[in-house]
Amino acid sequence: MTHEQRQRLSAVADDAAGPGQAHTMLAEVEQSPALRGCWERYHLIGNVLRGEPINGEYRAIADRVRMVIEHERRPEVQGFVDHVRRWLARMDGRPGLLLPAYGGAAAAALALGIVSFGLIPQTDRGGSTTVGLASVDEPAPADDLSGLGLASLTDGAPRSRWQATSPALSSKLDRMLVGHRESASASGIKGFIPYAAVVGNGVR
Amino acid sequence: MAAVGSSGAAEASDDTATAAAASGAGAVERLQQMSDALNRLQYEGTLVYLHGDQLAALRIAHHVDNGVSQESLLALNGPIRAVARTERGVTCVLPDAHPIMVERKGVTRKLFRNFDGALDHLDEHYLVHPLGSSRVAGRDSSVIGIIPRDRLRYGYRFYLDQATSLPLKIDLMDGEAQPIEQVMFTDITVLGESSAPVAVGPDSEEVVPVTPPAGWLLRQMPAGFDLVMYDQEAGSDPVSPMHHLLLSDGLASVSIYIEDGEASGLDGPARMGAANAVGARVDGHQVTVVGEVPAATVEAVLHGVHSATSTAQH
Repeated sequence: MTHEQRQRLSAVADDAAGPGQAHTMLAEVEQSPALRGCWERYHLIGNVLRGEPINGEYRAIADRVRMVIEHERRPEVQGFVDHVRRWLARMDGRPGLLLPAYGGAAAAALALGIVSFGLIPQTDRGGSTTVGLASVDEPAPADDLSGLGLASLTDGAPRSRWQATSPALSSKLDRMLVGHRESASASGIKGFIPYAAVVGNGVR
Repeated sequence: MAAVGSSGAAEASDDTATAAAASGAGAVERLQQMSDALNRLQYEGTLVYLHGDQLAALRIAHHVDNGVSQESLLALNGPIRAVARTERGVTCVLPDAHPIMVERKGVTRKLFRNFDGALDHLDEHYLVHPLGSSRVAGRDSSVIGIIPRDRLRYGYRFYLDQATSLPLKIDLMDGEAQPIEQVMFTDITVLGESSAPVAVGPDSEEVVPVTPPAGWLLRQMPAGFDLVMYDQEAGSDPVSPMHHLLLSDGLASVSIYIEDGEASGLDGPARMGAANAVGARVDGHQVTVVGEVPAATVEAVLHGVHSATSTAQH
């Protein structure tokens, strides 16, 4: 830590930094334990001078949060993070996902909202973990959600509509059900509405 | 105050029964108005379908063009699913399946026990009763309950729009009076009647007796389920047609499909939503029973399907 860095850090703490200097300084604080210690001391001194109470629990809180995040990055958590990234990638209209035309804009807005407000840990070039915004810059890899319990979230995954049957047999039963519905609807009481059950099933 | 004797109690019971019958007759009339409205009125709207954890939003439309009814249902969530029905037939597009096309049956309502002439028959297996009023899709509705008298069939709750008699909500109920399946309008726009009358099917002044196909017998069908239709359709075997028989109690219906030859099919039970199906090999033929009835009912129907050949041998 240099004298120049301490001066710039003091300016930021006193809200006297120039345009862009605060952002640059904070990036340096994030990378340097010495600067973080200095930052904490400056704030403690300010608390004392203003007669404000000092809470020891807040000491080194950034490091403690970072350690907790690293400890909490279990495989299943990372797996879900990857799943969300793939989900975001597929919501931009790429092939493989059927979206109603009117819903495309809504899906894009949702994806933007998730990206804007989502904070997902990333590993920087220095090896330490920083907290930043998620970015979707790669095509979605092949779907492999086994073991995550998230397969039911996948839109369009092959699934037999009829319980306890194969997909091929399910198609045959669908044809029989449609034929049955058409014959039964001639009684007229419920009209076309019961077809909602034919179309409505098979989706969660 | 004079005590009410047995004759007074009997009179009170008769009055109650009379009131109930009148109430039921009025409810049946409302259901007939519903049936007419579904055929006559043009409308568009959004439906929500709920069964267990299956939730779907659907866009429904009914238009009448030169007296010809055209209906469509389009799923608004999940994989693309749609059904369209015209005078020629029904086309259904489902996920991971080839389109299903079924010709419109040349069946008149006179082959069915409709409400006009079947109040007694319907009352034999259901109690039809008004259940008050409710509000659905922002519209006032009258609730009509069709309560089954046994566990061989489901019950219904119809929420009829007081202005148009269109069903704004339909609940399919199990034997414990719990909803199994629900369909509800979240919004509806009634476009009025068509200027041309809607055709309801080929004219027929004659009720044609319906019998099973040659070589087959139906025995001990569940109470109230009578054979009301028989037709032949294209099946898996391109040479032999598939027999399609329809049973109905006036409200619920069950279909029996009999395929000749070595056609493979369902072996055991299956279920989708409120529809149950069961299949088995009967005398070398594939028999499949499907309907919106409890599983025990389709099982009972399957057990009542007999080959005349195997029956003669025993």
